[in-house]
Amino acid sequence: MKRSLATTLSILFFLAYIYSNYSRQTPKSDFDLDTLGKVPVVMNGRIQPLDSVARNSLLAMSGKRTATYEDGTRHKAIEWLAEAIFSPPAAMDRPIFRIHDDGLRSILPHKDPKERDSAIMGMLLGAGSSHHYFSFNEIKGSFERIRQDAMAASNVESELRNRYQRAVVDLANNVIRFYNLTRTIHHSETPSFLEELTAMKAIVPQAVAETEKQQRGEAFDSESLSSMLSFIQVYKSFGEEALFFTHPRPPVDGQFQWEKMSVALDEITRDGELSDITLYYATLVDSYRQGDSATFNETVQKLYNKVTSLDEVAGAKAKAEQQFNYLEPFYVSIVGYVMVLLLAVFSWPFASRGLNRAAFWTTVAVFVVHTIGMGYRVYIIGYAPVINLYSSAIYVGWGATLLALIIERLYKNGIGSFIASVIGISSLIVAHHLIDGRDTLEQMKAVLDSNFWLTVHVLTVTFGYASTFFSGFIGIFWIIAGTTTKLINKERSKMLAAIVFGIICFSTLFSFFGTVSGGIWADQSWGRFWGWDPKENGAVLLVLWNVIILHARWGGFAKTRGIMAMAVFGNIVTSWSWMGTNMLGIGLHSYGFMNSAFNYLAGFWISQLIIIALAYLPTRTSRSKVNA
Amino acid sequence: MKPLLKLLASLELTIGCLVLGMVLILFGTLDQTHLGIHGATEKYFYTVFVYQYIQSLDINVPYMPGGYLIGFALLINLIAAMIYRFRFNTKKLGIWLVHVGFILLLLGEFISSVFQVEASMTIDEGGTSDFTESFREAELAIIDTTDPDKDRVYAIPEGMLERNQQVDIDELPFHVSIDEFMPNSVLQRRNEFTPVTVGLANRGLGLEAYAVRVPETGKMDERNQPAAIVTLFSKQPAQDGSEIIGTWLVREFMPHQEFTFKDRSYSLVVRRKREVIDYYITLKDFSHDRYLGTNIPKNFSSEVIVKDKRSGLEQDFLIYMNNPLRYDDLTFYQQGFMNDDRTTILQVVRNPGRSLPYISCTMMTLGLVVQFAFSLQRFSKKRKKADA
Repeated sequence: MKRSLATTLSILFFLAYIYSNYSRQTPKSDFDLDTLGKVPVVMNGRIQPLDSVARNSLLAMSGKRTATYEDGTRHKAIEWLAEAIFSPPAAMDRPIFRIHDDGLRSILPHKDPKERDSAIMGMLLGAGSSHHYFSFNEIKGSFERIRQDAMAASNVESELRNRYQRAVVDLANNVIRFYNLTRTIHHSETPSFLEELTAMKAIVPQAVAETEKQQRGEAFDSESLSSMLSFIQVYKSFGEEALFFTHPRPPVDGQFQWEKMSVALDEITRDGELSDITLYYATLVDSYRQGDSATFNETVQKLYNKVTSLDEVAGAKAKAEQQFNYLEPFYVSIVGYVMVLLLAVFSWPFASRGLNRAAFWTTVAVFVVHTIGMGYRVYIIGYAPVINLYSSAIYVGWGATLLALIIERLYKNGIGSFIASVIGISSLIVAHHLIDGRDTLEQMKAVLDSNFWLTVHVLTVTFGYASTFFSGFIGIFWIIAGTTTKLINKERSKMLAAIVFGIICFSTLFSFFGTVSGGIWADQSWGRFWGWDPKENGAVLLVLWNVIILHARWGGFAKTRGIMAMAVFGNIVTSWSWMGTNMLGIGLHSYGFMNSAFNYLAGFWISQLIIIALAYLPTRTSRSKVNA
Repeated sequence: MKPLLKLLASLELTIGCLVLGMVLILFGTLDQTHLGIHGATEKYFYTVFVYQYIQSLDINVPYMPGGYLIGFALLINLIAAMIYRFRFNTKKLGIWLVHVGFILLLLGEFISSVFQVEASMTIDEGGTSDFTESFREAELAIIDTTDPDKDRVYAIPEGMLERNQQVDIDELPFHVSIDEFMPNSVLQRRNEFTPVTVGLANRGLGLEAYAVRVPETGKMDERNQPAAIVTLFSKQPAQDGSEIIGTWLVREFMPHQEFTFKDRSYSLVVRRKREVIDYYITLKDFSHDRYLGTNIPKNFSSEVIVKDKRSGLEQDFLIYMNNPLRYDDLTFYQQGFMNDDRTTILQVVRNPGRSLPYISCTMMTLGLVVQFAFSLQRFSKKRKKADA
């Protein structure tokens, strides 16, 4: 019982944290925004719940998934979205556009710096960092200038733009995106949407009759015609701008055929009636503006039921995605890995078997959550877990954890758990930074649209990255622990060398098979088994490096120290193959260009070289006296 | 003799070659930002040495072994090692599979680099084509258009144009002299400032414009625009004794330039090198689907009919992403589209070494699995002993 105490406590703590994080996501409002967040719409070519529309839009504009209003209160993304689509005039005063660039701020109206609530945060982030957030209304006056500068900047290739140009293009896009969002459900030019619809419904029959007269060449009443035309004019203009599709229609050839609100409004001139979905949305607009939460809540439930009954798949996926948003599986996994890290580190000085076991079983728990998160993504997009750089980082962390569990099961000394937690934390943080304001559940571009090859090639080659990093981090552990602690005795050193060798065999197999299957995919897709594309070259570098390590070991050119140093160099090769090749911005399938990330990558390479140099310090300077 | 064999079979040589290979690949990748994939491939990988051109001396200096040399050295090293070091027994089965597979992989890449041909075929909706066009090689076509029903085409390939020589075609009543061939060029309008020293045409479109040689490009999204200055000489001198028929500037994307000689009509054009195939391909329909409300392409596909000239047989096919059409020794891939989604561009590939990578990679993967399974087995035996 006693030896399981730490394990039980640690897992309970982790589960409690997941629960509290989940329940914190539910919006606290009289309006049932939880259900609103579940309503499926189509944006960016895919079905998603309004909760995701809210989070992703806000993320793109403000860099955060919550909004801080002018009075300092924090609001959930869905609260902000409800206001933006139902009551735009209020939303236009919310300071949600984050502006970093000083040049850009100088063309905007001056804002007095606001006191931060916390002195510590102020010290950390600098005084008046609320300066960075502007509202739509504050930007509006300067928008013509912003638009012109953005137009000029967009003629410059995206890699060559300077800081101001990138900022101004982003801001222009975000302002337009926000404006379009406010005109997706209602154009906001009349106070009551329902009354407007009633008025329209009243004039339509006569107007239609007059149109028919006109078409027959008879005399017609132009006044009743023009009042309908003015409605249609308004709807047309906001139809082009609308950001998402609201009305599911029967699918054609298995493809969903949703319509936008404004287009759906045209139904009144066709059928003389409005669909339920239109009426529900109109009711939401009015009840939200009047603060009538009872009507709002009743209607939002009806809307949700109606939309999901028309498109059940969309309903299921949207619901799953909202759960996924609430669960934040990769965020809570970071917390889990931090727990594992602490447990593993503290298990060494106390030589505690209990903490060691706790570290292992917590790793299992985090691995389960991590896997569930990937499972959600697979279900939502219907593709293998790796579709972009972001998801590859998630997967690398997952793969490393899987290896760690195997190693830890074999040796039971906490080193596997420790390495897993380090790779887990860093890969998930890297993933977090790769989001870069984009929807990470993006649609698959035609050229990559093959689940079979994504599974066979991408998963294998990325697992090769995970395993090479794993051996590289063991190398780092051997070097750092060897120089700074007495942890690495002869026996441990031998054991770590055996693990590194085993894992490198494993990475060789995976990276080789992954590279080859990529060649076969290329041959099937464009008739070239091998094209010397940067990404292909990156993959083969990794294979070559692993092969070199194996031959150096077999030939006896590298003993433990050499193998460890080479394994660390493997981190450099892997990060080049994984991230660096994408930064060249060339090639057939580099999946994402990053400008700023290059400095981080270079920093990582330098750190690895320093660690390699440490390995070659004379043995007498290191605390573990291992002669390798 | 023995020390040399020992060196050839040595692991040091293996590791040396592999390290050089990594360096080469890294440089070859980085240089792609300047040279493009094709340019970098030619400079680094499909070559014995990597050369650097030194302008002041006007020479190419080799400074690094190229892909062919490293591949060849590895091949020799491997074969020597197999003869002198490897002993065959069942425990070494994996090692043997991996290394024999690797030999095949090297050979396969070499064969592809030499024999693989890539071309394209462009068809409008409702249109038919029976020829492919090379991506990179041009040709000078002299077309006898006298017969309104049938053209006779005499094509001079780029390899011959480059030699700037006089070409003699028996069926033609004139010699073709290539005064200058430019693999890549830009067109300039002729005016009073045009230098007279450059090769100037005195017939056809060359009266209005002249071409200037520019460096070749190997980038994926750019293409060379070859041009040639061609003078035709009559095989039998005319009554006034002159042999010259005229000098033309011909360049890709220029319209056909017509002339008549001895009662026959001809036209001159530089175009992508064509290869006529044994069947007609008709494009019934091209479609380009996007995800709802976005410009993200979801799928491109071409519905085609293939009519075999030899058998008269007709078959329908659908070519789309990741699903090419294989017919005879060619493979047709959906590559692109133009003309408002009404024209399809197919990539056409012929590669006699196509199956080698499949065989070699299967062998190598199997070998690795077998070998590492042995290692794992040994390892778990040791663990059991340690635990016991």
